[in-house]
Amino acid sequence: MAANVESPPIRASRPVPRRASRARKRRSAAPLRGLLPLAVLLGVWELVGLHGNSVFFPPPSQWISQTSSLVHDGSLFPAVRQTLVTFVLALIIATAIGTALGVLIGRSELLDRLLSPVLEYFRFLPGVALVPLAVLFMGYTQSMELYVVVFGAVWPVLLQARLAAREIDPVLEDVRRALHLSRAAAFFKITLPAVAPGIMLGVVIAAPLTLVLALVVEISTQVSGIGKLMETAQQNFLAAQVFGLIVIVGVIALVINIALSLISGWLFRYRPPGE
Amino acid sequence: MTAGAVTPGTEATSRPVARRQGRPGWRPRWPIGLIIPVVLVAAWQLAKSAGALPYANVPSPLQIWDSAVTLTGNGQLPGDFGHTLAACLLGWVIGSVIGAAAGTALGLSRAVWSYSMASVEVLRSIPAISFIPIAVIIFLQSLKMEIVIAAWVSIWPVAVSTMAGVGGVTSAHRDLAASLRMSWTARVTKLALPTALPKMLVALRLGLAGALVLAIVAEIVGNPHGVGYALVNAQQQAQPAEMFAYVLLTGAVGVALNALLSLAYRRLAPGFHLAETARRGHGR
Amino acid sequence: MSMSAARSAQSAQGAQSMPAAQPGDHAFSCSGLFVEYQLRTGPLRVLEDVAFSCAPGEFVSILGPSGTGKTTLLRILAGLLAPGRGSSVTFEGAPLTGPNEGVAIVFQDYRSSLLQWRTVRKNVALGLEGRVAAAERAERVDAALDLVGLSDRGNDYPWQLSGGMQQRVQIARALVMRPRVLLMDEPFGALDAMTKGQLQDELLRVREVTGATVVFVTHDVDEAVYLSDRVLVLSGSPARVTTELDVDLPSPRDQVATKEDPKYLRIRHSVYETLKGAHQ
Repeated sequence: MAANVESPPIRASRPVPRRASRARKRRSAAPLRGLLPLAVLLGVWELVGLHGNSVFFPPPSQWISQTSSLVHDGSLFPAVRQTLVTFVLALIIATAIGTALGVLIGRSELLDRLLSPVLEYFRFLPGVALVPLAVLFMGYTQSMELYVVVFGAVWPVLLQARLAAREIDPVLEDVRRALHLSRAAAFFKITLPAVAPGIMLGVVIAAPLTLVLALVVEISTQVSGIGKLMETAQQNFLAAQVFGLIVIVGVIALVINIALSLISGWLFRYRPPGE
Repeated sequence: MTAGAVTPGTEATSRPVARRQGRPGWRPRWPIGLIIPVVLVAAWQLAKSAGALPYANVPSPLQIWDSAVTLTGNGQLPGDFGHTLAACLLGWVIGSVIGAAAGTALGLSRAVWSYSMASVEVLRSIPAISFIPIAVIIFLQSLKMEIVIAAWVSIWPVAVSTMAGVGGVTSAHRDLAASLRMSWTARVTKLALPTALPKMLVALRLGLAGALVLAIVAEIVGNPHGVGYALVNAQQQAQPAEMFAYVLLTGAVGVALNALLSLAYRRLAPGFHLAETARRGHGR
Repeated sequence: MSMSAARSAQSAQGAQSMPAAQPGDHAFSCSGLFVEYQLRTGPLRVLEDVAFSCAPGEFVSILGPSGTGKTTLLRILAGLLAPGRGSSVTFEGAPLTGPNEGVAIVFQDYRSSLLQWRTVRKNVALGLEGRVAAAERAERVDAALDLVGLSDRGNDYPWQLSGGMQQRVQIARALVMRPRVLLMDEPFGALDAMTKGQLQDELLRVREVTGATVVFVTHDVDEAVYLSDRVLVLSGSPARVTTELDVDLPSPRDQVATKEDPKYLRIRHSVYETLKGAHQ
């Protein structure tokens, strides 16, 4: 069936300019040698600190020694566990509520228009401003911390879910009707998977916010957690301990990022690589 | 098995158009979104006046208004907001400039990127709030401390987006720059930065939000001045009306800052604004 | 990769038995059809006084320039859109009130209408879930994939397939419902010329095997004439059926031989004349 067409001889393609290939490489992960400035900074800091006795900038070795005292007196691990539990619980609840409300609002033009100003207001209201309010009404309790963190974390998820629900391609409604899918079946088989990437984006935005809110509550109200340890260390002018706790918080944040990345990669394995 | 009735007037084309389902052409002529806040406030006031609201320490809207008026009159409210906004805006500007410079360097020089990007990733993933205790130890409880924290949190989004934006200069543009023999500064100002502008604008908005949050946090936690401290004070003195006044106003400030920024974007970069509104939904 | 005639004959004896329409029934029938939208600026008539009918087993093309309202007409036949008050559509003798199970639709934008998060098999199975037992479902999905030549791509995701293959998945999804009528909205519009030709021939073979009626919307004159038994030209604003042409070409069609047939050229010529006339 294929006709015997004379194809022109293939010319050797011009070599791709080096710049283009370099630009493409930039999108891959940062090379580890990028940690050099940080390592150098810590190294110099250590060397300088060994001679002087700076209250403000204690050398890294002191961080370890002063922070391990927290391990020895048994306060570090419970505090870390407390903050993490709050974080995970709050994020899960916020995701559930944000998804449910966001999809509901996004799919209904009436609700969307009705609630838009209210949503925009809460979007720009800094969640941290509500911490003292929560304390006033609920006291210095763990449940207060959960309420206020959930409230702050709900908005990014809700807004992204709403956006994603709005942008579901109208043809999918035609597909639903043409295939005679019930609304319930369509919700779980079409709507939710379609908004899932948007929700994930909302979660990725909400996660650092959730951690920050938890720390704010702990620092300002002495509810137990890493924040409380930091506040105590600061009040006692134990700068090295504060730095040590900063490192711990940083590691936790890194682990959270990696975890979210992995979850996202698994959930969206249907996507082409690079997206 | 036939499905239910067909919705009349459904959008005819099956080509993907970002229109919402529902009845097209049904567009209310007045902003119905204002109904809910008005109704809520009215219901709140009625419930309070009738004594129907069980919580004794939830103030009524009128009480909140009175409190706000009083605090404005004695200068406390404006003073506090002035302090917080000063810290937020100064920090934001400083941080954004540093971030833009760093981002340009990271975006334009492969060597710089290769030898520092990992450090940037590590530093920016640490929540800025955890640096507040150290900032308090170093700078003590002062406006300077707030500015430093606000600046720190603004650096990262701007740096990353500038880097990404600058890296988007196409090889075609680079060839153009070479053929026109543009100087290095010209390349940066006329090609790199304009290409990076859309992403930078988004990051600037994020940075501003972050700076406001961190300024308030710094005041709650570290520096007894400004809005954050006023909130804590109102909580400790059990003054719910005062607290609500501050909270509601803080939200309004957040909205206002964002609106001003949007306005600025519309003037300075009209194409960006059009792209944003187009992206947010044709149906509006 | 296109399917072989041998395989198609096998599948014909297998799971592809179609319930046949009663002789004498029109698959579709409507007249005086009109569609009007209420815009803020006033009413907009998209279709006016459209008369359409097609017999079971026929291949009818609806041809017209972009934006005329061909898709609107197809959506009415699909039961997705109600025509203006007073006019009505009948399907197999009964009035059409919504999407009918005997009718399957293939949409133009395969990227949006396929579920990107499902594998090919699960995409095809979508309409059968909850309705047909798993074993029978798997059998029918296999048969449909076989019919479009994608048996070995069942576990891939849509992004791994080319445009032509994705459109074939959509066709399989339609076929697995065992429709008596296949409605297609410019299904090959987004594909390159060579893939288009391949898919056209596959469509003709699928129709031969299944005996389905096909209503095919396109703006491509050659495609319309090549594929159909009858061509309806829709043009004007509001759109009407300006011409109806019988395409009396021998079957099976061939991309080279048929297009060199003088009858083909004549029919093609008259279609172009009609379109040119409508523009003046």
